Parts: sequence; C-alpha cells; structure tokens
Amino acid sequence: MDSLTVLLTSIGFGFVTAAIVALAAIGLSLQIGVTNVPNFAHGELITFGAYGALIVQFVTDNVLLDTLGGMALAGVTAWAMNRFVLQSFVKRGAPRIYLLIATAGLSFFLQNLLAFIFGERTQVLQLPAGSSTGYHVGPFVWTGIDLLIMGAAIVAVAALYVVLQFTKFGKAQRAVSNNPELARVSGIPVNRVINLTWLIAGLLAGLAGVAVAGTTGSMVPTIGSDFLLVVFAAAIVGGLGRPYGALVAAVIVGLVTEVSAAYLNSAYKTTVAVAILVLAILIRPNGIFTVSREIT
Amino acid sequence: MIDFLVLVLILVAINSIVAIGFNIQWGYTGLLNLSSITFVGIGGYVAMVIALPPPGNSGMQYILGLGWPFPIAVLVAMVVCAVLGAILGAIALNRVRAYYLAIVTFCVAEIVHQVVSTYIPLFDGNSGLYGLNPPFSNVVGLANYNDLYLGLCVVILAIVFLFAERLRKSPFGRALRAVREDHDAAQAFGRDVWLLQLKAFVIGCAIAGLGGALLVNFTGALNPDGWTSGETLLLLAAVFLGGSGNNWGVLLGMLLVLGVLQEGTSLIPTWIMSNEQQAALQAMTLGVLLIVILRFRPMGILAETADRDRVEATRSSASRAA
Amino acid sequence: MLLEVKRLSKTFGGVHAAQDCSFSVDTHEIVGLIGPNGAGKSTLINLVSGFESASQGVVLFDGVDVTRKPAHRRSSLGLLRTFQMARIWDRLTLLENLLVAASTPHRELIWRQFLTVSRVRRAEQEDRVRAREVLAEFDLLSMKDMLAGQLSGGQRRLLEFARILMARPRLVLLDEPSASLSPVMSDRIGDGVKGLSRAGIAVLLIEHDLRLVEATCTRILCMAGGKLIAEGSMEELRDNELVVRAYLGATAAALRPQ
Repeated sequence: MDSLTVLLTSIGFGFVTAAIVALAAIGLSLQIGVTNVPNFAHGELITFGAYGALIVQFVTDNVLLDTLGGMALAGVTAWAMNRFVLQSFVKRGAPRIYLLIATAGLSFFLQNLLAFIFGERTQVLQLPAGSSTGYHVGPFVWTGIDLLIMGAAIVAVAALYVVLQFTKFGKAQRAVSNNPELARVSGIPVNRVINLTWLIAGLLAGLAGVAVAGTTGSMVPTIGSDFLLVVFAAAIVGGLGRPYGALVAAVIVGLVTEVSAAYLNSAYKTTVAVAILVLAILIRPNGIFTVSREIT
Repeated sequence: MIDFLVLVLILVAINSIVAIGFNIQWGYTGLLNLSSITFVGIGGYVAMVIALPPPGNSGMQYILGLGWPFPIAVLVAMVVCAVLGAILGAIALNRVRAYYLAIVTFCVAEIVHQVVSTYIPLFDGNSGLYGLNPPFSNVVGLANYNDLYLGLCVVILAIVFLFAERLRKSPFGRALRAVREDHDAAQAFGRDVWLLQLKAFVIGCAIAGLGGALLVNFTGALNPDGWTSGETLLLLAAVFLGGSGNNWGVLLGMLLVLGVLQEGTSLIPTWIMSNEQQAALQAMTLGVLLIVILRFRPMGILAETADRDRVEATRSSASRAA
Repeated sequence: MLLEVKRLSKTFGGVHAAQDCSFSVDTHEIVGLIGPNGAGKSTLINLVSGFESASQGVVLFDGVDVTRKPAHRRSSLGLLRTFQMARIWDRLTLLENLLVAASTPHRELIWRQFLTVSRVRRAEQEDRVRAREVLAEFDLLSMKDMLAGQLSGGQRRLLEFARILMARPRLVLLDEPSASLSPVMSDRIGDGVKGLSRAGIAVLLIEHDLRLVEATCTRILCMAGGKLIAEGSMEELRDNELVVRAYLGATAAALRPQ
C-alpha cells in the first residue's frame, strides 16, 4: 500500500478507536469529577459490557438487545461498586488513597470472577450481518461494525449532552462536580447524584466494551483492562470532570495511537498513549483545556 | 513435603524483601508505588544479563551478557534500580494531586512491561531469558541446593530487615513519617519534603531490585508473564494485612498471604475445580481480602508500634479526604 | 531588624491578594496583625514563610534575602510558622512530634543513621529530656506516648507551641492560634505566646481575637484589601479612620476595650 493509503487507513482506525475510548473516558471523567477517586476497575466495567452482551446472546442475537444487555450489566456493576464498597469507605472518612487501592482490589476481583466463570479462553461474539462489509465514506474505508460503533458513540454522547444540559440531574451533577460542599449545602442530594453518575459511567463503559468486542468478534477477561491506560490518558488529558474535554482528548489519543501504530510496532500503542498522558501530566496537570492556575 | 515447604519459604523470603522495600515507601513515607514489581523485574533482568554469557548460540537475544559472578550481578541490579528509581521519582514526585504518583507508577509499570515484551534485542521479548546457572552450584550438590539458597535468602532478608528497622527508629525514619502525615508542617519545620520522599523511593526501588536478582538466580529464568498486576496486588494485600509501617507485620502478612492463601488453595482437588479456576479463585480472594482489610482494619494485624490506640479517627482523615 | 519585608506583592489572575506590603519585626517583639476577613493576612504569612511565591518585593530574614528561597530553607534559617488549622503529625506520638521539631535535616542524613549512631543517639537523648520539660509546661506530659491525632482542638494548639519551643526558631508567624477555641483556651494561648517571647522568639501574631492581640502585642499592624493600612498601638488604631472603616459593621464596637 502506498503511504497515503496507510495513513488514511490508520486515521480511519483512529476514529473507531477514538469512539470507543471516548465512551469509556467520558464516563470515567464524569465519575472522577464527582468522586475524586480514579477507578482502577474501570477497565473491568468495559469487560463486563462485552461479557454482558455475550450472556444476552445465549438468548437472542438481536444486536440492540445484546448491546443494551452489556450496558446494563456494566451499569449495574458500576453502581453496585460504589453503593456497596466505595460508599462505605467514604462514610467512614477513609483517606482517598484507600479508595484508590480498593478499586485496584475490585479490578482484580472482577477480572478474575469472569475468568472463574468463563475461563481465560477467547469467547466468540456473534456479529450482525454486514459487519465486515467495507463502505467508502469520503477518503476512508470503514466496515459495517466500525460505522455502527461510531454511530453508537455519537448517539450516546448526544444523549449525554441532553441529560447534562437539560435535566435536573445534569445540573445537579455539574454542581457536585464543581463544588461538592456548596452543592450539599444547597440541598442537592449529593449521594444520589454520585450513584447515578457511577451508573452512567458504567453504561458508557459497557457500550465501549460491546464495541471493543465487536471490532474483533471475540473477548477475553482482560479485554477491558488492556484499554485502561488509554482511557485514563484521554480522561486526564481532557481534564478530569470535563466530559467534552475527554471527548476531544479521546479523538487525539485515538488518532495518535493508531497512526503511530502504522509506523511503529503496533504493540507500542499503549506506550504511545501513556507517553501522551505523562507529558500532559507534566505540562498541564489539570488537563489541556484548563487555564493554568494555582493548583490546589 | 519438606522440599515443598523450602520452596514456599524461599518465595516468602524473597517477596518479604521486596515488601520491606515497598513498606519504606508506603508505610514510612506514604508513597504508593505501583511499579514495585517493575523494579523487581528490572533487577531480575539486569542480574541475568550481567551473569549470563554473551548471547551467541543460545537462540536468545539480549544486551550485555558479561558472565560476571553472582554477587556482582546482584549489586549492579540494585544500583541500576536505584538510578532508575531516582529518575522516576524525580519526575513523578513533583506532582500535586495526592494520587498522581500511583497513576504514574502504574503507567510506568505497563509501559516497561510492554517494551520489554516487544523490543526483542533488550531482553528477548516475550520468550524471556533462561539458562542462568544457579550460583554456588559447583560448591554444593544439587540435592541440598534449595536449602542452601533458602539460607542465603534468609540471611539477606535479615540484613534488609535490620536495615529497615534501623531507618525506622532513626531521626530519618521519623522525618519520613512526619512527611507522610503532613507535608506542609514538615516544610514548616525545615524538611525538604521532595528530597526525603525521593530518598525513600530510591531505597525501596533498590531493595525491589535486590529481590528480583535473588528470584532470578533461584528460578534461572525470567519472562514478562512473571510480573503482572497480580504480583502488585499480592504485595499490597500482604503489607496491608500484616501492618503497613511495621516490618514484622510485613513478614507476617507475606507468610499469611503466600503461605496460607496461595498454597492453601492449590490443595483443592482438581475434581472440584480446574487449575485455571483455582488460580482465578485465589486472585478473587486476594482482591476481596485487600478490600476488607482496607475497610475494617487498614492498619493491619500488627499496627505500627504505638498505633495501638486506634487512630483511624474520622476527624483527622475527614480533613484529608476532602 | 530580624525580619524585614519590603513592598511585598502577590497578584494572580488579576487579583491583588497582597499589595506593596512593608513592615518589620525585631527580636523580642510580639507584633500583631489584624484585619477583616479576606484582607490578605494569610497570603502575607504564606509569602513571608515561602508557601507562596511573591510577584514582587523582598523578604529579608536576619540579613539574608530569602525571597526566592523555598519554605523549608526559610524554616531551616529559623523562620517558622503555624497554620490556621493546627497541623500536627497525627500518627506520631506527642513526644515524636517534639523530637521531629527539635531534629534537623543535618541529623537525618542516611549515612549518619549507620556511621555516627552514638552521636545521633546522644543528641536524641538531650532532646527527649527537653521535650519532657516542654510537655510538662503545657500539662501534656502524661500523654507523651499518645498519638497526636487524639488530642482536642485546644491541646493541638498547645502542641504546636510546644513544637515551636523545641525547634528554637528566631521568629514564628502564628496564624490565628485561637481560632475556634473557647475563651479559656484563648487565655492559655495568650500565655503560650508570651512564653515564646520569653524564650527569645520573635512573634508575628495574626489574630481575629482583638482582646488577645491587645493583651500580648506591643505593636499592631492592620491590613485590609491586601494592603497594610495602619500601624501602632491598639488605641492608635482604634482612632484611625481607615481601620474603623475597614471593619465594616462590627467596627468601633469590636475595637473598644471589653
């Protein structure tokens, strides 16, 4: 292939990856925005999305139902993680670092729970007809599943936008993200907002998980954690608590990693993403979209 | 049975050495280093490539290959880890949000793992290295070799333990703990917080490297599969269970986690669950154990001496959790 | 002059947290710093102690220009400070808190812990003896092996004073030591401040409790809107138009003797 085609193809992959990373990163960013605790089990939420779809597939092959099933499993897991584990830490006034370590423990537990139930071997996910057909869109060639993924991401982000901008929950969520103490004093039910934010983060991660499984038609228990660092990179680079920052950062990270994979050994993708992240933390710890202020 | 016990004890001893180094970073100074096992790996690899002969016909690719004796290989491994730890610490310790060190070290762990797995000329990638002759094998016959090696590890563990205890009881150790408790107050009393943290970090990394070198000389082989997040979780569980900040606690925790938990579950007969499932169950238990300890007794079984008045006081931690 | 501050300013994001502040504190003085909320008193303390960097101006301590020096270097030179919320080391015992305050980075070099052990031990022993004396002065001796995190609010403040005495500084900036304490505790704080002065430590006392300021300080500075607007005795300040106006609302009533 000539170099232009290579570039275009990798940019095409980049957009698909960006879509997947965006879904997971936006959810993570929202969650950290209200809780201030990085969730090391976020990768497992992605994986649960994939395995949720697998479970529903035992019953029906309908793509929509499979996807919703995956999202539901991930959403409920996220909600439960907060409600039954993390909240009990917070109630007791535990230092934030303990919550972080607890999420690491949860990550380990959840990943191995899947390994226990389903085993480490690759599970197959049935894809809808037309998934592998190539479609020309402008200079790019995308498969059916690629288009489906990008479309789903756009729909999800649009839906999220509507929720955040126009619903009572959305406004409350933004208030809590900005200043939790002020929000509490203003009568906002902070705990309920946090629970719902976790649910949404889980739903988005679940969708990302179904998408990841969709790109290859298969899954293993580590499918989500493989993505964890890239997702963290996008969330942090975009500024924690800034979902649209995460979106833009996901596009950047997605494109850069995929394009670099065309020229470097593709196993270095995560390394490239993390390099972006570390650079971003060094230069602008609060995300590239914030004005450089006194950091607290 | 005894042979099996010796094997387990060697692993406990080596892991305890690593855990003591981790404890100096976390228990004394409050630094959560999630790349601890990376330094174990680096220490192991460096020790190997120093001690192995040049690559030649072995079918493996790796740098160096100097064929130097065991003690030198171990020393070089420690020095390399100290230097790399200093660089990582210098970069990562400047950041402001409390958990950034955890995230950065986590990232570094992943990157190093990936680079070592992929870049073959370095340490032979995923296939790893093997064929390291056990040190002193020409002195003692192979029949009693493990016993000798256990003795060696126990002696080194004792040295590391005494070193760590000396530090803990010293003014330096007390300064580290003050840094752990409140950075600003430490600064206000003339302490260069960054430098103290860096010192603790480097010491911990060097000790992790020592552990890696010892491990590699026991197994004779090393590949990237050996160091995953599972090892980190084991370390965390052992230190928290036994008692962070307390070196006896670290030993106890490692003994319990490795000895009881890991080896215990491997005794479940195969008709109840497969080996794969056993491994998964072990891992699940470890995760749950860590969460439970953190929630109900974060100071561990053997709390930091003088911590007997239980201080997870809501007042002091509520102001920190804000 | 022990501490000389010349034209110290701090601006960020268009806000002048401190503007053109100049003042001095000499050895054996207890100088008060008062002003309404938001006047910039805490910023000034941060600038002088090095916890914030100044946009302009100079801080001279004992003749040394410390303006660009980080906080820990300034405290090494003998310029200490406290914080609005008492920052003690919760999971260290009271005794250990004092030992850390008395020790120096010089003594904490790693090689010293192994090569000059007896010398370090001897210095520690002396510190332990002194620490017990200091704790006794504050009625805290019986709790010396308790973890500092278990102290009450007032006791935490006293421990702060104890630590400062152990550290033997030249000057200390006290940031609202009587905040959220009962009037009885406030009196003990006043005694504590005088005790510091008797021990040869110069004091800059930031306070809202004007009774306490009047009882301990020889000279008082008043700050408002980031600027130092007046200096003098309590009576002089009471009659100062600017000071009265700065304290909107409470004003003259608060400044009159009880």
